Amino acid sequence: MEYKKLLGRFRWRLFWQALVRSVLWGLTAGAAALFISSLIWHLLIKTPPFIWIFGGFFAGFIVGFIPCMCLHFPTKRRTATRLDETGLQERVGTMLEFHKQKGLMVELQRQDAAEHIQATAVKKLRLHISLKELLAFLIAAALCTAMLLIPYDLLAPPPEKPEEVSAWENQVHTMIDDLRQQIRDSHLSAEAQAELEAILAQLEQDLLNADSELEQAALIQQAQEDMQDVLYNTVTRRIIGRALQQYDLTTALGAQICADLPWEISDEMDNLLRDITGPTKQLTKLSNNIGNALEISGVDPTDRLYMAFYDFSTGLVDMVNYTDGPDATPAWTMSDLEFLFELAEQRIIEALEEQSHDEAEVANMDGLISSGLQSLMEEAGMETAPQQGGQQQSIGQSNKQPQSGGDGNSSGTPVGGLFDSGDSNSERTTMLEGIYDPLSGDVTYGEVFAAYYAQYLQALDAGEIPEDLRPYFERYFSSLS
Amino acid sequence: MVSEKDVAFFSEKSKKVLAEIGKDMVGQSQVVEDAVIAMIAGGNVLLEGVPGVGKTRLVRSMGRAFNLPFSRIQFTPDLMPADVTGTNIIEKDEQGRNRLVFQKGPIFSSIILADEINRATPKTQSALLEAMQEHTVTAGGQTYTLEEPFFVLATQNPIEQDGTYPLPEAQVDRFMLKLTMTFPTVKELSDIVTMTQKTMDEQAESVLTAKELLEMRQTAKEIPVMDEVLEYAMRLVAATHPELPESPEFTHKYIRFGASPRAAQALITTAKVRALMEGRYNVSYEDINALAYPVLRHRIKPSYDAVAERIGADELITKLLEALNSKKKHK
Repeated sequence: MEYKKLLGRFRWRLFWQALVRSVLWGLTAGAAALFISSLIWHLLIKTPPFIWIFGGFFAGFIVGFIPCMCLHFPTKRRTATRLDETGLQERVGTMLEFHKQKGLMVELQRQDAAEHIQATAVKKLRLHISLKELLAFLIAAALCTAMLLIPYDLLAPPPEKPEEVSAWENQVHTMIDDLRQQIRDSHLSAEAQAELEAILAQLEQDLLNADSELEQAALIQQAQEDMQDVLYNTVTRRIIGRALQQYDLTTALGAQICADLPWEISDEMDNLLRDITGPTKQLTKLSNNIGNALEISGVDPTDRLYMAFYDFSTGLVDMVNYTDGPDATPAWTMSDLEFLFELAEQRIIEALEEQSHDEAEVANMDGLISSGLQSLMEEAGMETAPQQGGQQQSIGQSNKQPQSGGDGNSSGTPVGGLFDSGDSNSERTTMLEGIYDPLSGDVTYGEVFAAYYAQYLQALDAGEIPEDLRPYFERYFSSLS
Repeated sequence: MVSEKDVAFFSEKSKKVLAEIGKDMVGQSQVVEDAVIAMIAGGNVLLEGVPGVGKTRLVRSMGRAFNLPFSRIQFTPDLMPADVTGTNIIEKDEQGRNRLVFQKGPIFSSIILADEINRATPKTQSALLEAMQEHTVTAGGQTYTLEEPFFVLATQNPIEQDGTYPLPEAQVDRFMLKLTMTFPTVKELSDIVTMTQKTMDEQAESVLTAKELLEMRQTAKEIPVMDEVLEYAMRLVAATHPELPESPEFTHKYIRFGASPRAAQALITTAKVRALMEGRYNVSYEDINALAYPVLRHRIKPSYDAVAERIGADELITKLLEALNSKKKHK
């Protein structure tokens, strides 16, 4: 009996099924191999040659296809086993096992099996593909596709900064270090030095993170103002002067103390003496004003200027107490009062003269800072006005009128500073002077724009710009940058 | 040598036998079929059922259908071995001389109904069991051969166990099949009553002769068995043994003793008969699965755990078949 012909139909069907499954497994293995190959190239951060991709896939396909085909190839026994689905397994198996035997029963069995095989439709043999196989294929395909789509330079380190950026960083570090060293070499107090160094450190960090030259210029400008404020606050007379300006009777006196004009102080003391009409009450009030100002100034009580004002205030109190009651006729005479005022004036002026040495140090420091920041500004590529003359004005030598009242913080009127020529007769070419003196005529917009931008940033941080106007400011500065 | 005629004869006659016995038996079709299979295969049957379900009637019908002499032995505690096998008696001959004559017992028949075998003493049981195994009877020093075919259908009453002598496992193993006759359904009961109201006599007619039965037995032996099916049957028997490593886990827990090699022989022999009765020329897994219950249920000894959890032999056989079939699928 030609059992091969009998089973041929089923074997062909099983062969195609084996082929389909093997191709599926081959594709799964190929996709997995492709995934691994691509992953390796991704880790190497290199674009692989096409032959690697194709070769990896092909090798994986062979590895998956051949074993699966061998496993599912329809041999006689496998065919008989699969025919179990059609109910023919025992018939076909017995037929194949005893096909060489002779005997009536085995012959009858073969005939019986043949009849049943011929009566069975091939379609009863269904293709067996499990959910796990399909899932494996889908996962492998997804991983493979993802790996092919991911750029090969994803893990590459960020590109190195261009040399010009590095040079700028080096320049910033160098200049800031120079300034830092100058501050340390100065005779400023430790607190003042620490504050100045902190401002420099912040400036250094901010400059390296700045996105544009404009922002760099604004940062330098802001740092200069902050440092001038620090220097400003190291001068005792200014502290005491600002404190005195907060009280009625001592407002003018305080302003003159800040301005450091000795003849003006003398005139002011005369004015004060002249204005005392109700001696007792006014003296008491004057004494209280001076005492309160000294208290809020926070100046060291051993400071000479502080002691001069303190003695003055104490003398006024003694003068008041040198009467028998508040309504009694004072025992002191006007000449006594004049003497007290003259003594106080003398001591105040002496104290101021003694401080001039410290102020010179501060002024020198201010000049160094200003020139250093000017150089930094030039390195940042911002226009700077040429300096005229070599002498820089000190902080104490402002020819501007200080503000009266308020907190005495005259940051809006920085004196000296960057680009200040120091020559009162020369044209002012400071960036800030251009703002405050629109009639100068020699200031370019580029010189002042950085200051404008710095002011804008300050106001923005302080929340001083209304929200509905912020877009206009932003557009204005971004269009000009 | 088996001929086509024999094969055709087998198929035709087996159907007729079933049909004839079916005339006298209402329901119990599976028991009837298994009993006929056992008879054709040359084995003995242990029949268990409550009184009145038709055990005696079955045997009597089989005797009529196979046209074989039938005898019934009611086993009682006082039954003696000689009552079963026969004994020598003194007889006067024509000359008036005394002589010993062997009086054959009821066992000298073709189909024996040994009713309530567990009520007799072990000694009496062994007399029957020796005849079952050897097909010979020894009495008075002389051995008498029993004529073929020789078929014993022994019964046990599952209710009245007091004062009985349960057959030892070695003796129970000699029965090829153990069949359980269940109480008939209401419909069957109705049919029984209706039938027996007309007549209590068996209606089955003779279909076969002893010689033909033996030929059928020979024909069935020629049925080929595929190696895989044979292996499946052997693995089934081996799975009943808890001491074997390949047996399932529940075998270790619930089976105390497994089936003997006689079970494997019985499985294949009866499967061949069944296959041929169904018109097939090869043994299938289905044959093995169907005959696993009657072949194994009296051969496996449930453990105490099984008894405590009320897990019977049939349930254990079902689990064994499930375990084997799941392995077969994964192959």
